[in-house]
Amino acid sequence: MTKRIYLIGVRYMVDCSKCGLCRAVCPVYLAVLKESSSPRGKAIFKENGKLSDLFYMCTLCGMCKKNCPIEVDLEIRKQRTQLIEAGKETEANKAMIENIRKYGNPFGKIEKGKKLKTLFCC
Amino acid sequence: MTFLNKYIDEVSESEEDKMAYATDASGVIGKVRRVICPKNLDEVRKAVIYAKRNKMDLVPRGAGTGLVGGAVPNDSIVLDVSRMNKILEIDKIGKIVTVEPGVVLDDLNSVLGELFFPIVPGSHRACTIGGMIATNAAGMMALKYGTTCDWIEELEVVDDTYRVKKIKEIKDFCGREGTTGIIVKAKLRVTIRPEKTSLNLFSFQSITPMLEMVNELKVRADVIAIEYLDKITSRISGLGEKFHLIVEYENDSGKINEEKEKEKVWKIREALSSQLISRKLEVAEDPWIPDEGLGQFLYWLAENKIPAFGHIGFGVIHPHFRRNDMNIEMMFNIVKKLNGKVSGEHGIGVVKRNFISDEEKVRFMRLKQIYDKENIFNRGKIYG
Ligand SMILES: Cc1cc2nc3c(=O)[nH]c(=O)nc-3n(C[C@H](O)[C@H](O)[C@H](O)COP(=O)(O)OP(=O)(O)OC[C@H]3O[C@@H](n4cnc5c(N)ncnc54)[C@H](O)[C@@H]3O)c2cc1C
Repeated sequence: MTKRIYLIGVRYMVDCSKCGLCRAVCPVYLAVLKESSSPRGKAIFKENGKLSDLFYMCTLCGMCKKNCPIEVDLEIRKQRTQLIEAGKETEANKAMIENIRKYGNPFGKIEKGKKLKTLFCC
Repeated sequence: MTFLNKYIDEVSESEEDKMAYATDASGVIGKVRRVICPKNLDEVRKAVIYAKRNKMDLVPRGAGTGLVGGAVPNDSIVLDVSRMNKILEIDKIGKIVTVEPGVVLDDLNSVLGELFFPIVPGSHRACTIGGMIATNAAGMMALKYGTTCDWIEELEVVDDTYRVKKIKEIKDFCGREGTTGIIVKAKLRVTIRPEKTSLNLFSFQSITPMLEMVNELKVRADVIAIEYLDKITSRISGLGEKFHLIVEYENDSGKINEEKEKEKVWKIREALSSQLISRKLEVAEDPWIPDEGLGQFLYWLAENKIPAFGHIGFGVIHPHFRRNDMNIEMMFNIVKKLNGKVSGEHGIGVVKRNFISDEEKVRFMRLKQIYDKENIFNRGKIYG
């Protein structure tokens, strides 16, 4: 029976307590069901300075902060700005920004007579 | 790697997954070799076959809300069962439910109507049934309803033979923190949810009269929870610098009856752990103290200004410490002297490995011989 323990160490609190209660309310986590897509996962990336594409996997609904016992703010917009500054942008995001600049909407050129889809929210 | 990719849909070695799964709510950080998210029993069996063939450590994981590092990997494969989250059967007449291990406790209770699974840890919104079974979780209502083990009818597990086994010896898996195999299905007893509940919030200037009240309340049949807040945690919660008791009744004899008001009180209580952790009091302990020693223990904590709260009706207190605080060791010695247990509900994990008794070590080795001869399940947890 092995006696060796490879654990790296203990974490000192930076911001988020890692209780994991945010998993219950995050729509992205509830669809994907992986820790890396949960708000706690994103808090870990943020603390470790990991500029991950997964910061784009967030609806910005704010449920994590609202339900967090200590109201941790993941500052997703700031993380995305840093990603762009570091040249790490998803292809979808690039296309969307280019479309807004070129055509004034995120979808691209709209053929004459064609209507844009109407999106409903909440 | 090809074997896993052939048989399991979600296998990852991404940097993000390795980071996110390296830790849990305990604050212990480990090292991930690979993450597997099985969606069914067959994928679990394939993961066990792979781990055994390659002599790798397999760490089962639910919601990662554990506070002793039980789900923290040790250069291991993490098996996250969150996607095995089906409620398979609800037998309302027989009061039995059958679930997969990744079912979240609140999700289960939200579909049971007038019934409920009455073990309610502070992490009820996120914790999974598998994690609750593996840690034998207790919680707010343990005074009346006991712990998770008391409510299990039957378990299905995958051990080192890769086969699915029906287990009647519940305690070979319940409270064993994933060291004997993977829990893949559970038949649980449920009970009738109290039609109406109410709360009282009592405050006290000192510990002795507060304990007298606890003793009076404990013997009442209608009391389901007695939660304690010391002066420090009361102040942090905005209740003023006094000792407090939150008492829950399964009728309307408490003064707080409105749903919203009750929710407010429970929210204060449930935020305490994170409130203390965010103040750098990151070590959350959970000693169990027998009635005779409770007064002495609470006075010692108060004299040393160690913030604490907990399920006082059940004898479990949660003092919080800074990392490397010398008082932690001192507290364990006091707990031993008072004939208490160093862990009342969170388990042993890696954090309390050094405190298990010789008797526990023998039991651990005996169970490993039965279910996990080659030590592939959650190496280094509890003992070994
Ligand atoms: C805010 C907060 C409040 C809490 N309050 C309480 C409380 O009141 N009472 C209490 O008892 N605990 C409490 N806890 C601790 C923790 O939530 C419980 O122990 C919970 O039951 C763990 O469930 P989980 O799904 O998060 O398990 P995890 O943390 O993922 O795992 C816990 C252990 O179970 C094992 N495991 C998980 N799933 C399986 C499986 N399918 N098969 C085999 N082994 C498995 C893991 O390997 C690990 O050893 C609290 C934690 C937090 C953060």
